[in-house]
Amino acid sequence: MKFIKITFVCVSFLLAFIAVVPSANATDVFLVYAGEDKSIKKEVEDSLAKDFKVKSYNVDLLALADYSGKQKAISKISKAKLVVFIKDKAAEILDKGSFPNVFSVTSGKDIDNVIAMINSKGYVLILSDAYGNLSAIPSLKLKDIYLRTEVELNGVKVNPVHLPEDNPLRIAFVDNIIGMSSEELKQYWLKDGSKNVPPKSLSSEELVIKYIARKKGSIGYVSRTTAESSNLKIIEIK
Amino acid sequence: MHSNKNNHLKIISFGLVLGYSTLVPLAAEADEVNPMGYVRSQADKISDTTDGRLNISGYINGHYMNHNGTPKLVGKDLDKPLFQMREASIFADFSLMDNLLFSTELETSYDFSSKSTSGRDDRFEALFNYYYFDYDVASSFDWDTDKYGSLSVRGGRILVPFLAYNENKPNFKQYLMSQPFTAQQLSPVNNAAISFQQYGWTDIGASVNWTYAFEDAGLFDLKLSIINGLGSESDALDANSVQLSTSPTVRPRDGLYANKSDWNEFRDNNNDKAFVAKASFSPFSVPLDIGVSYYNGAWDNDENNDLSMYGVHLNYSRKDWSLRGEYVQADVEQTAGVNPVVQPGPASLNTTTGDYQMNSWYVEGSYVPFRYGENDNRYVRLVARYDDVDTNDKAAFTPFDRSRVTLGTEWGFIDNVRMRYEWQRHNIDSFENAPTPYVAAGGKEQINMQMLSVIAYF
Repeated sequence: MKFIKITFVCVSFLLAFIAVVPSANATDVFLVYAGEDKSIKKEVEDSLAKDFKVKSYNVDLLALADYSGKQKAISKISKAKLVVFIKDKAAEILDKGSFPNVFSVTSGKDIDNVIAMINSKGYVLILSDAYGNLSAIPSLKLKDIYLRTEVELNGVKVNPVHLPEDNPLRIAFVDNIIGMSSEELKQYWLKDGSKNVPPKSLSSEELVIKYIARKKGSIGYVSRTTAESSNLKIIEIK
Repeated sequence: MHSNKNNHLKIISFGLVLGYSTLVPLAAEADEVNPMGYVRSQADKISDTTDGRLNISGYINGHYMNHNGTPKLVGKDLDKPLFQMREASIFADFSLMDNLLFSTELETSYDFSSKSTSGRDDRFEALFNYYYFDYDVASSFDWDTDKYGSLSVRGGRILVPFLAYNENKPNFKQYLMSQPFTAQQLSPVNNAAISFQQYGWTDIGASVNWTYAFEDAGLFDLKLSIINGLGSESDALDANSVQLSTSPTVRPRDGLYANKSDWNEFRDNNNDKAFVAKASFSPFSVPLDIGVSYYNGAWDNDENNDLSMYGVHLNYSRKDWSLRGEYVQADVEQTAGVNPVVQPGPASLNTTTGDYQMNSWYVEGSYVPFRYGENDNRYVRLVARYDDVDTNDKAAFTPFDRSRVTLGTEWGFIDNVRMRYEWQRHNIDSFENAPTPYVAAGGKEQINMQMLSVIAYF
């Protein structure tokens, strides 16, 4: 009984602390990298450090950490506004899906895209009025919609749209939701044996907003900043 | 507590029925039946609700274990089948401030066997295995971590950083349910080798962790800790005693204990603090972790006798195969001839030997011959381990001077759920020196063990 009382008091205290004391959330970007990719991480870090607060985490530390080390790393990193994974090895060791706002880079050339992602506050999903009070879409369902293996959403024929291939929001969306690189997605459509056609690409976020407002059943992603200035409904990706 | 066996079984049955009737239909709504996926999604919701500041994970395992060849003890028959929910643990990490984390593990266990089998007084046990604060010094002062490395400080009841197993004790991090002798008798991961209690080696103390990445070479990791340390209030470190069914009381010399190590005990039996150091290196190009460990501290009330331990570990892990190993040696200072066990028994077992040495090592290899399912995430793994232990090199006979072969298989049949079967053969060394009462109580030169277990984690 004493054990239960102590547990209850401690947990209550910690939850109250979390509720009352706000998270500092001072980090703009957390760079997650493997030791062998240190030079790219350094390049990205140096470019961003002038304008943003940048921290980094070497995933090789997990090999030496104790058994809750991975969870601790996620707790630490997930508070950043944007989590940037440097190349593939880091993502293989620390699951990208654990973080709400992720971007992947493969070289120092991707820095402009990282900056665009920070400034846009990441992508959000918007959709036409046809879906009524739909408030969330599972990420797996969204993947199927964009690969055209799912043709309906909430009983409505769904019409997904993309941003241009070089848009950082699209790069992040395709990476996080579809689980492919731009090149892999291109190959997917070239090899697709069905009569499906790839989703339409629109040249700007403004055009995506206009298209979705007009076209019944359409769905797309834009930056949070753009979405918040439109009248379209933002929905959660589960 | 054991007298209420039927009531407990009713409560457990009710709990299982309730749990399944809730979890399975909910899980069935998901894309596939995956109960642990459902639990994980609930934990994720907690994380989302708290803006990522409270993260929860955990695991549960149960086993059926059967030994053959152990001696019968008064009040405990180790050869009887043992059925336990060995661990049900929840890990919680609270992000209190930007660079301050509070972490704890709530660990419970439940024994379905009779008291005469397990020897446990209570069927249900619960404790906080660890609870500590982690302060990220390097981030707080915005150090250039490439130049100076990262530094953090940990304080509270910490997992003792000695060898590799103790910091990776949960069964989902391992390929066998049974623990290697290095952990079972020396490190010590559990408090007593003959009690089948599996709590990790934790202690009140503080630890400094410095990690430095050498350019293109690898990561060097150093952990320096001050803890209460291991010990005994007796004049002898190996003073634990059991009574054989043939009546004499004997010392099993069953390994090292963490004295006064209950979760709510903050001091041990002396004022001397133990020093623990662990240095590891992990090259970037190879999935390898090698390291050395050191422990030193006085174990007795008067702080006259030291316990020193030296360890080496190696972990090499590929996706489908792995190689692991540890070696540990413990040097014990102890006065000869003192504190014989009070009740009558064989002098060869019950007389204190004076200074002695303990040592243990193991090598474990695993291989996945085939995978199946979506993304090849279902698999069967084959595991083999050889380990050896001697808990007192001066004693004429100790049942914990033995070697052991373990063969096991692990089947990953649902996401985050594994089933294991293990077979062991123990060979007790110098069995010709075993005293007559030990043999008369059923103690054999060879002990066989079989175990079936299930582990689920989220």
